[in-house]
Amino acid sequence: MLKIENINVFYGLVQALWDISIEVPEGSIVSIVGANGAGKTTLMRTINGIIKPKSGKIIYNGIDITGKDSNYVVSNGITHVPEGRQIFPKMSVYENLEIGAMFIKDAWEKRKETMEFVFSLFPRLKERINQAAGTMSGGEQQMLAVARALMGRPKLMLVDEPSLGLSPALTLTVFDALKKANKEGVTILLVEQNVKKSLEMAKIGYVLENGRIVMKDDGKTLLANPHIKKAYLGV
Amino acid sequence: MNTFIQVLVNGILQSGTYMITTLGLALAVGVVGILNLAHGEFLMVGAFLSIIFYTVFGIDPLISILIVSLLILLLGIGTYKISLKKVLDSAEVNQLLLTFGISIILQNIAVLYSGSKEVMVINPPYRDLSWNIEGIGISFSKTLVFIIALILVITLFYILNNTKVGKSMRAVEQNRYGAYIVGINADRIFKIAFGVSVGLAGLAGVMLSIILYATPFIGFNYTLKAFAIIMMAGMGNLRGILWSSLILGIIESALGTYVPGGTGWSEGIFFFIILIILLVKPEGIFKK
Amino acid sequence: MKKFLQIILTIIVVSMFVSCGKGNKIVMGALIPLSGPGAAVGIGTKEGMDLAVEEINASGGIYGKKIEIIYEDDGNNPKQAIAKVEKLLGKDEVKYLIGGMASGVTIGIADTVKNYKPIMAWIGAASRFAEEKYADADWFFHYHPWEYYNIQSTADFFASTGAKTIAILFEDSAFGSGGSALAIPMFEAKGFKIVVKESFKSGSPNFTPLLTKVKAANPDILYVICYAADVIPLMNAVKELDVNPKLIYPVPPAWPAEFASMPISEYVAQLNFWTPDFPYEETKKFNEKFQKKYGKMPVSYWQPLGYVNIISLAEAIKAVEAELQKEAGKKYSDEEYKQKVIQALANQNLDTPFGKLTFKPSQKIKYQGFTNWLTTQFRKGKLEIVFPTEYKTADLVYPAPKWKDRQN
Repeated sequence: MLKIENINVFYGLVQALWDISIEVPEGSIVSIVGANGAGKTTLMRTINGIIKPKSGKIIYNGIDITGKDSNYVVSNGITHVPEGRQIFPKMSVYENLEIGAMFIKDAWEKRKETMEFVFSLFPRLKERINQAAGTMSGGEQQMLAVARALMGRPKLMLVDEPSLGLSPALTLTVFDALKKANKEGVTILLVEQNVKKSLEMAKIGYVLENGRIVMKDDGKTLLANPHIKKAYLGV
Repeated sequence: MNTFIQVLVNGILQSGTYMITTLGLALAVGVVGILNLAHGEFLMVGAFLSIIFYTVFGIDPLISILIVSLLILLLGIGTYKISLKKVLDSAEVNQLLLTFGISIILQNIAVLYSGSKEVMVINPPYRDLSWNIEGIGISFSKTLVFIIALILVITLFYILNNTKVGKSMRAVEQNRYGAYIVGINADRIFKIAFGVSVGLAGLAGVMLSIILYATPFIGFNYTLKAFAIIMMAGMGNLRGILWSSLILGIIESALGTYVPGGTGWSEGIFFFIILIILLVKPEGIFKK
Repeated sequence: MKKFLQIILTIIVVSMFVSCGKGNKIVMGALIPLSGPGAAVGIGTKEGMDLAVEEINASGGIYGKKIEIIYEDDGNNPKQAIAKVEKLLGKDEVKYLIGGMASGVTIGIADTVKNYKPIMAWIGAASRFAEEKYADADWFFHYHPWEYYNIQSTADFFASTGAKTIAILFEDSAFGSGGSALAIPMFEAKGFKIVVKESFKSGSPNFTPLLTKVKAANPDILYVICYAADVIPLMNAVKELDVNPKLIYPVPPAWPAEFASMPISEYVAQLNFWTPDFPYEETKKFNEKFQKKYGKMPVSYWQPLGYVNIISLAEAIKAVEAELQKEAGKKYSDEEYKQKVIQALANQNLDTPFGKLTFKPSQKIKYQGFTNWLTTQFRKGKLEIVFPTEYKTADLVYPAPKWKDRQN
């Protein structure tokens, strides 16, 4: 579904990603793990179209989306649960969800249906449907960010650090929702601090260190890897 | 008592112009994130265009008002595309310098056009029309401005809350990064917001050409007052702009009538208020 | 080597031409407001000056020497004016400083001008503080009447109407504050009661609060010291609020051109130094010349005043040059020449659109030109002279009809 070929990404003159190649098969969950500052969020932003790579290609469903603006990328069915949630604080839960579907034609037409679906995943959001998003707790906002991304009826969903700052119970809810969405056919590219959980769910895992891919394997194998165990699982 | 009512009426009507100008600036500052020092100059261009339409083509300002506002909207989009786009993300200083430069350019073009005429006036038949109700003088054209201002506030409110474009603008204003994430075409939104922003200024300018006159230098005063009102109302707060304009209009009127030497103060009062608010409640005094 | 010589030669030849050129011109430096709130005045002045220069140069100049004016814009700003006058006197080295409008500027440049002591033929400044500054200058020729002349004329006129109360509004710079400070005691001395005394910032268009106050005080006469840009918003607010003094009397140094044709101008009276309807032969001649060159009639007194500024100075220079012509080879030193021109001006007796021009001492200076003022009233778009009665072209309408009683 998504093929990233040898991209090099810069912030101004400073290089952040070197020669990154990643493949996300359709219908799968792919995890990217790495320490803070390894470049995970940079990668997500690049796929989303907010940053443009200096070289290399990003191919999505056969379309070359390299260097295209974010509104183009999104309208083709890639949504993003960003790091830090980035919800619209003065808009209500309803308006935030609605905006997730606003710029994708198919999603907009089916928005009522989709909203029912996300409420089934996150009943708490339904309770707070008219509340200003900025007044909700961190956990609730995170659920909102995931729900908003789902409102786009994405074919590919980029998920960046969803469990950051969440209680274990909420983390479970969120990951459950991701699994359910995946079952409904949403391909997921996941970046997570919680290495154990994310590699458990993942079909394929990539390890990103200092802007470079250093390992690629299926999730379970990576979990058993001694380097991973030492560096990321604190074993 | 009569005087008191007249003071209130004067203040309320005067606030109409402030409302329209400030609404425009609020869009530029809030949605596009541009500190547009040239805002008042677009008002001035509106006034000039209205006068040109009247003197050269014989079209009454109340009819040309839509065309003029549209022309200035297009001028705004053009200005955005050519110059402002490039400083959107740079330091505020660059924005201030750039918009200041634009204001100087517009002023000079106006000076060239008006030549030796210090003041350009037109005389449509309803210019001096006013009503006298129980000794209170109410100007027709100022009342018109006030009504137009209210209509604009309501319309803007509707658009921002019930249309895709409007919601996109609010989203961009509240979280620009989030707006990119959900696929909003930010460039398109900025273009539209900036165009509407200065289009509103131009509209106010047309009304001003009826109430007052056009000179190349009328713009700056309104820019400053609009900034003051935005600070008082708080960012993104439409209703706040309405109330702040009313309050400041009435204070200005009361100072000018009741306080000896008050008109000198009334300019200063706007800036005194900004200062106090910045120190005490920087997010504005009106609740959203 | 060849190239070097060519360059040197060119420089020598060019500078010879340049210095020769200097000798064949009479250069005057004009400091007038060409931008800012006084621009209407400055531009009018320039029109009058250009007309005079064209006229003189077309008939061969002054014994073959053409007049050239270097115009500098003071922006009605003393700081800017000082820089410009320094340029005219220091860099351009002009021997004649002409023009002028604002008292503030005239006062501001005084110290700089006194360093150079040019012949200053000045058509601006009415404030007695400006007069004080030049009290010791025997190279200073003042054409414009001092404000105490105006105020005396105004007070006399007001007294003739039978009015009892006056409301005064004045702009807050030297012009307005100085004028009102002088006017109020003079009016009170004539027995008038001042019911409102308020300042405002010129160019700030909202007069409704002030006029609400004036309306409450219900004065017989509304006297306003302002600039051209203030007139229309002032009168608009008067009408809007239905303020009905028996007479409205604004005294801007110039009026906006379109004001006369607006209905709100009707019955508005003012002090006037000059109108195109003045009963002098020179007025008619000036109108014709002006109309011919600019395709429009003159509208403010600054246009003929700028004209007279040049004509008068040129006449004096001509008298000195005539002397030089009589004795071939005779030369005066710069200082002698200057003193001769001063003498010629001091003895001048010239017919102008304002009447006769002679220079006599005023309260503080040696050479004061014009002193007389008339009161005019707008009637159906025309200015009628109403006071003093021996010059009148129409009867004064006092009290002016209330707004609701007027046809328009």
